[in-house]
Amino acid sequence: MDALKRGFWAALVLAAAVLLGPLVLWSKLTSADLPPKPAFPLPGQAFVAEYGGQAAYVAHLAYRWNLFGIGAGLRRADIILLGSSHTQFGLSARQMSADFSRAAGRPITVFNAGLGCDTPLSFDARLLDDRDIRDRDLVVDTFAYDFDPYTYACFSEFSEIADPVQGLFKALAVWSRFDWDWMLDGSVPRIDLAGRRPTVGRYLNQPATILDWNYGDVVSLFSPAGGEEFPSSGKGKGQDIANGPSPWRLASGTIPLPQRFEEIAGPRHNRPIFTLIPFVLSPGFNRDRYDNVVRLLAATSSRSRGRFVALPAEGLASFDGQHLTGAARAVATDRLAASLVASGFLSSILKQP
Amino acid sequence: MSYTDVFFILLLACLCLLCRCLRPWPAIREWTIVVFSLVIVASWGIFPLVLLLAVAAINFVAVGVALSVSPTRQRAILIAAIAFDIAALGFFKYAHFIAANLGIELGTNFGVAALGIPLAISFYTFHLISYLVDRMRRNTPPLGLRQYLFYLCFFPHLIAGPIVRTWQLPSQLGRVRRLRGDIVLGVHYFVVGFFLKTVVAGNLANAIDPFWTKDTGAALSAADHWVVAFLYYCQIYGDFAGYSLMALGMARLLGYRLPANFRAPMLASTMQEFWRRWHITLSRWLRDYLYIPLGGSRQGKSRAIANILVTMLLGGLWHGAAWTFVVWGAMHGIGLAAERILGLQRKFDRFWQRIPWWLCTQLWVTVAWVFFRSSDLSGALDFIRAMMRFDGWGAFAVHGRLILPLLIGAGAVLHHAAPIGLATVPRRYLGTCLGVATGVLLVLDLIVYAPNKVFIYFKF
Repeated sequence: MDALKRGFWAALVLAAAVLLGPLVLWSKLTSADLPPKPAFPLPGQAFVAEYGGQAAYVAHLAYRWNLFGIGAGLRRADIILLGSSHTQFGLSARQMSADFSRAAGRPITVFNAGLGCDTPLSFDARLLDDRDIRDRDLVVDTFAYDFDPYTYACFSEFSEIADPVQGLFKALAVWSRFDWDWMLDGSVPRIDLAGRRPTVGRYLNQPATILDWNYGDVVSLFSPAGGEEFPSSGKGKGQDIANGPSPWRLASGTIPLPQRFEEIAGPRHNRPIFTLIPFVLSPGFNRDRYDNVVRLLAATSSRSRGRFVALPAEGLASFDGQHLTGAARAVATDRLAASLVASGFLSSILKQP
Repeated sequence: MSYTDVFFILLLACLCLLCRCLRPWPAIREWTIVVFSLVIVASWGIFPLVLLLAVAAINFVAVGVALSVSPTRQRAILIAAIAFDIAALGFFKYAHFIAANLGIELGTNFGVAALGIPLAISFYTFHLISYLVDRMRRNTPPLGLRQYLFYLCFFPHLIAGPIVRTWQLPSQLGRVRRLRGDIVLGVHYFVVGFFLKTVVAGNLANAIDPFWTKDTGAALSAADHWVVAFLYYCQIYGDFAGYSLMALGMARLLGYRLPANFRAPMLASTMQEFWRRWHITLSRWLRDYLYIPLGGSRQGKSRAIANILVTMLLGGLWHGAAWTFVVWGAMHGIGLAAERILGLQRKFDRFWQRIPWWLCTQLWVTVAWVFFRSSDLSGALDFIRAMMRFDGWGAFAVHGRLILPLLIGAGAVLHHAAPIGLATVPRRYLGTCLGVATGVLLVLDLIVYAPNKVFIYFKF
């Protein structure tokens, strides 16, 4: 054993230093060319909801089990925004809170509970149930559930997480991995062995989505190569939604939501208001189709005692074909808030003392 | 929580520091480790923890009750406890499999849903049976609660082995130990194991997983199929030997020693030698608690062969409730039986005599891995058919996408050479040599991206 101890630590440190030194130097020299890493998500202000494609469900865990009080915002909100990642990126609960508070003359809180990850409607129902959310106004983006489901299997991975302890450790694992990579980014390079040949890149090498701790809005969407893609985008103004080239994939015959949503909103005396956040899906947007879908949604909503507020696509842009840009989010949020106030659907909450 | 998570490594570092502070008080240190181990189980879900504690409690009470009754009743109680453990394992792991297969035979549907295998059940069931049988044979004294929980729940071995025996771990408890030498080897084992698991196995899995699907596999040549099967051999070695080394390292860092689980299996020249080098603690367990009680080799050659086949079939089934695992076990059983019939158990006198048998053994093992990896029998048979399909020179072409995985797989192969290389190092340079190797691998652990893959044996 003494023979083993002799020289072990010195050799370890020396070997690591000799190998790591040039790598650190190389990393320092090349990191100036890289887009900046996102601001560190400080607990209480922001949290990492996704780091790497396999862990896209931290927000689900946090909302479901109120991890570190993140789900508390959901519980105390007067108005909850529900939907997919279209809602998560497309609306700002923080901005809407300010708008409604101004209109009501008292603090009104809105929480953005939009969730990506191909989340089914049943999860939202469970969320409302578990968190005992009743007698609220729910603003629901109708894209979320049955339209054109894409094959993103992360929700099935999330659904295997069965209890809050497991959820807590899963969230901590994702956060510590992000924090570690964030800390070493710019100091140490990373070698990726996927593909035909090894590539050397930055240490923070996975896409990350960071959400607002208190409102659930997207604070930052980071990609290793492009830097921050949302709310500010390096890709210019994004893709103009209203003047997209060809027909929208959304089919008028697949409008599923209002009746089903009424089933979960009704028993808890929640009041759903439906909308449709404009988006582009390749091959693009078609104005007539969109208007047709909006008309159908409005008709279906009224038949099922639901309420519908249209959100016009003019002037909105998307950064990836699916989600609005940061600038478009501000416009869409203002537009929706104004429409909601004008429609009188929120009169009960806006008029309460 | 996976043992390769940054969060786990931080927790482990904290635990090591705490245990170092608690060194003069072994009982407190051991309870701390038990609690930590239970938290690790809870991080995979409350249900696996509750099940583990319930099964552990029933066994502990059974042993306690057996102590106070007559020898005949004692034996009956311990046999009942063993039957309970096997029933619990069978219920969670095999009920769906048995019901589904019976349903096919009888043309009915029993409606038994797949329950999902609770974490570590296969491993702690073996630990429990080992304790009960050793108690029955009076090979081990009854363990106190702390010793018992430590033996059963010690987190380095709890989830995927090494399978520890009562004479190996409890005898280390309750003592103040010197840790300094253990830390050197602990760090070395952990760093090397982490490298094998994350850099080698994780990246290999990422590279070759797509080739196991029918669509992608169809585009491959026969040589590609052989390469993919061999790379899976490297992957599972990296995954499991890496995990086992990490377990040994974690135990050493806390001042305990676990038995080695791997000893260069790719160097094995016979199937018997393979099982002395691959998952050593499982093969010893199967030998001591299954093969020998069945009669071993004491009752003639044909009975010994039958015992080998039964042992290996059950060993295969232990890995998972699927026919692919049964066939994998059968192939190993047939290999071992064939060696017994051919009288290949003797040692080879010369190096060159080993080569043909080494080649046969490793090819047989590689083909058997195809069953282990495939999701169903037809997929495995298709894969093997493609391995044997020689349609001109194209059959020997190796896909460009397999070149980098072959280089990654070399990490697993080179690990086999490490003991041979170290044996040539003069004793006074051994520490320096290990330090350099650990330092280099530590940097590689740090800078090479590892896809987040769960340990293969966590599923068992």
